[in-house]
Amino acid sequence: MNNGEKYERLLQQLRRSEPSFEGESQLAEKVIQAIQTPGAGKEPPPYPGIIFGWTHIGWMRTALSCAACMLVGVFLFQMVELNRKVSRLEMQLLPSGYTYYESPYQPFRELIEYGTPETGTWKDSIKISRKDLFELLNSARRMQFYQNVSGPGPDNQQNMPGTGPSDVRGTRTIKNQQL
Amino acid sequence: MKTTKSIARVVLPMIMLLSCDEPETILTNTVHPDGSVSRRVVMKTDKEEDIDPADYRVPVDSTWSISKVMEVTGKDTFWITTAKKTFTSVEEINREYLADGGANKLLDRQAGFSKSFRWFNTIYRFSETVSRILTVGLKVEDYMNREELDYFYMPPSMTDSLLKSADSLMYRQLEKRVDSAGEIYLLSTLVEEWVAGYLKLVPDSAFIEERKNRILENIGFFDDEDSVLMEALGEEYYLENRTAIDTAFAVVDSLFGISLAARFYTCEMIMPGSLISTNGFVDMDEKVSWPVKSDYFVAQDYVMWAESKEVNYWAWWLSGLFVLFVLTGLMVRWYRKT
Repeated sequence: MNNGEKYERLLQQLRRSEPSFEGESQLAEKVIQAIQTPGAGKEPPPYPGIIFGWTHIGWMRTALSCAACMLVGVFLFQMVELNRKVSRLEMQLLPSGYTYYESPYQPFRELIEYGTPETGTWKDSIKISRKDLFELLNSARRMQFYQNVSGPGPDNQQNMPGTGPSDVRGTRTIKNQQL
Repeated sequence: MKTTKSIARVVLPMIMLLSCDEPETILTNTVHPDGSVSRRVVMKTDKEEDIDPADYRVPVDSTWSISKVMEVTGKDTFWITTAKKTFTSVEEINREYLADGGANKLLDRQAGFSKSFRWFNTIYRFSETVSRILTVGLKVEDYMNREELDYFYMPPSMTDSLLKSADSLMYRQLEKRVDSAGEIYLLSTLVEEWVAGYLKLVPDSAFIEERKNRILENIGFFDDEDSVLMEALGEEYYLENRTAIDTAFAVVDSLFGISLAARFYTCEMIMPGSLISTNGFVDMDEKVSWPVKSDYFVAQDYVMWAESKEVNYWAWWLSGLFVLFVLTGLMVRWYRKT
């Protein structure tokens, strides 16, 4: 048997085993439906231009997203770090004239500046002249000096106006920060 | 031993006395982004004669441009000498420090500069370091609280102002506390140095360590070191090891002599860009200043440093555009999918 005969026999065998086609009656209908549906059976159209073509590639999408997140992270970290340093730096500023010491009698000063009987901001019936108030402040300052010299005893703290324990602590905190 | 004077009574007042003499000197370093530094030294004196170069606090030689002006303030007349020079790098400054023949020639001083690129910002750091004089290291932080430390490192102009302020009494008390703690610190460094030197000659560490505190306590009670050590170590031990004790004291004397010879000046820095961090005092023009006096570098290195930043605007724009591009791409994809 030569090769030509073998070939002929194979062809005949293939012709005999013809494949069956299921749903033959619906074939035309399916083809018409596919033609009528826009975009069906096609690849999605490209994004605007080719600049966003990378979003189709998984590893590139991941890499660029990670790089963007990293940049944002580095930016936030640097900003927080710089803010922390600058806020610390503000404590080291040399104020002009160095008259920054806060008195424990700040409430009295506020009364003088913002609350006077004329403006009607007094909430009680106490009337005191500005001169008397200054005298009170001076006396309190002298008492503060006495307290500094003799040490803050519990009796001193209770009896002196404006020099209670909370006031003394507050003053020292302010001084420490500003120095 | 007899020739060795009492450190507590002689050395400390000498430091105070010597730290106030003329010429008043201010060194200003203007740091440039490329690492070059313009230095200006201003020396103020009430004498018309030229200042002897041996009295210069900071190395200044004939390569500097020097000018002199007279200033009249009220009834006082001052002569102000200004010297300027631009150095291409800190290495040049360090070479000048090594060749210094002025009043502070015995001090080991170094300048340092670094520039680091951090994408969004470029950070500059400039420092001037005075290495410690003694071989032992003791931290002044262990002897003072935060408030006292702030006052201790404060420039004299600022302390003077505080002492003249309405709260001068309070600040005088603080100054007394600082002086007292400073004296204890200095005496402790001297005792530690002596102990370290002595133990090299007589390895008797357990006994000396045990008696170290007693030596320190006795300094206030006795007029001379003989009595201090005799009482602290015991007469028999003292006489037995007298040669080693004296030798160790001679070493301390020579080292502390460097501290005595050191002269006060003020160091200032002007950094490129915006100042972000420093251990000095900052004025409203972002000029940083430090007092340089021997108390600060007897037993620990005194590092004056400042950091500044320059914003890299191109990096901000580039990063912003990149993040926007990625976000837009992801949003477009999400929109298409849904």
